[in-house]
Amino acid sequence: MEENKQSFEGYNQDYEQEICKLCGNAYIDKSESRYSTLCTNCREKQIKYPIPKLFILIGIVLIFLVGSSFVQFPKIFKAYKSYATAEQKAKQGYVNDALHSLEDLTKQYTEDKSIPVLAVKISMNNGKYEYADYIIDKYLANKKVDKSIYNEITTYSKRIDQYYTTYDFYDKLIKNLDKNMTKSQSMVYVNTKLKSLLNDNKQDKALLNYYLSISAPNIKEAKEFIQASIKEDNNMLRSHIELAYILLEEKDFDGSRKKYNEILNKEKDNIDALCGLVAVEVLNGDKKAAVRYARQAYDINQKDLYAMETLMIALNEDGQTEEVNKIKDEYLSTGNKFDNTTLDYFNGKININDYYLSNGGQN
Amino acid sequence: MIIPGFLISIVTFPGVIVHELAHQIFCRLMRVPVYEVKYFQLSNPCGYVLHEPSDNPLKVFFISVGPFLINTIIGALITLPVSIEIVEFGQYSNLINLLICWIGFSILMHAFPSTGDAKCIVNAILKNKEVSFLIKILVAPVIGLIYIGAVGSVMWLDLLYAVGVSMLLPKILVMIF
Repeated sequence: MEENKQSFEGYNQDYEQEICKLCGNAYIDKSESRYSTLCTNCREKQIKYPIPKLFILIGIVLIFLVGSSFVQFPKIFKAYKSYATAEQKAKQGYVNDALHSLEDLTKQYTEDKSIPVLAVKISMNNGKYEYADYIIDKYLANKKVDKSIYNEITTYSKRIDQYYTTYDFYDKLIKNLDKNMTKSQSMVYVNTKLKSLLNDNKQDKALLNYYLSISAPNIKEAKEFIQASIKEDNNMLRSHIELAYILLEEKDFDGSRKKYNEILNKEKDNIDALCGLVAVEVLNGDKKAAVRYARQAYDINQKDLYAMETLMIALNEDGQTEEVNKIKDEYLSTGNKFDNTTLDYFNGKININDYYLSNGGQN
Repeated sequence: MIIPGFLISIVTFPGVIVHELAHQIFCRLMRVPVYEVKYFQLSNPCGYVLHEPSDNPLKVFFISVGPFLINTIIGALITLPVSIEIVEFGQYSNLINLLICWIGFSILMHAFPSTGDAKCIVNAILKNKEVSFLIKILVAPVIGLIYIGAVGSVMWLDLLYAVGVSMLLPKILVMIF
């Protein structure tokens, strides 16, 4: 009897251990896990433990909210892309494009300082000091910025200040020229004044040498100064353009063409370089190429007077007089006037060599 | 600045809810019965999922790591349309954007599995003699990262992770398009 009782309790204990801990009605199903304490039905039920309906409702509201934000996303993403790829674009030669996009973004996101700072950085790296100064003045001056931005802008500002010291000096010099002086007298006067600044450390040596070059009495000196300018600051494209022009004056067409192309690699929409190439090709006899470059320059900015003039000259050299007259009308209808050299060229008083080269290329 | 994790969990409660929901979803996917779920509570821990233990290392691994995957994916998708304006361009004037950003960041900040989750993987995989050495080697760095994530939350690693992920997707999209 005692033995029977013990055996019953043991059986009862084993039985309880084998019964589902949730429903207590069925045997535990250990087919999927040895740790299982549930029967088949309860396992299935607990595997599909319900997700509260409130969460599903919140999820739907959230999807709607996020979805509505996505409506604006393509526009925002496009803006972000132009910001994120600005430096890369500038390195590929689309400096002006990159800078214009950044300025548009600066106007759109007025709170953000990283966009104008990037615009300043790209401008500085590409020798566009005047644009960098404009961005600092318009979007960063007197604004609260963090220390790293402040330090960065201060470094740039020192360089810009130096640039403007020379720029202002030259500007004042030109404005105050004695009107009784002849052109060559003025050039000698300006050149002498500029030379006196060569040892002045407050001056921007690259710009100073550039001004010395454009006021130099002869090509040899002009070339020396412009090379010195490029050595001081390789980023200032105006010096490279001047060097390319000097090479053209020397009738070194290959050298000049190479230089202009180098400039275009750095800045694909540089109108001065394209117009320079027009001069190279027209003087070299390749009038079709000249027209092609002239059209490229004109397409970049159809209101640019230099590009308009250059296109008229290229077309004229190519014998496309009808189109020349069309552009001439457009040019004059907006109140613009040709300078004496251009007027003389169109009136047939001077030829293309006289137009582009000093002394008609006889020097 | 050190703020108790408990307070951060209260502020970022949507992340806690999604974290626990992720555990629950992975339990369902791995066919592991769930006994109880606390999506959020004002005590420590702020949320938990009680489920049947498993002797399958893969199931343990996925249930533990599930929140990392789900919170990261959902958080990144939620923050995508607003992170550019808020994180990159510092525009805080749009309240709906701020709300979406808060939800997204909260979810991302709770992507890291807890140390409790890591312990489960250690027991089920690293200490399990039946698991091959190769699997242990593969899983060990994951456990290391989980611990770094848990310890790093003291130094705002969870927030850094949220900022990083929210900006990663736009950067990837820029590379693609």
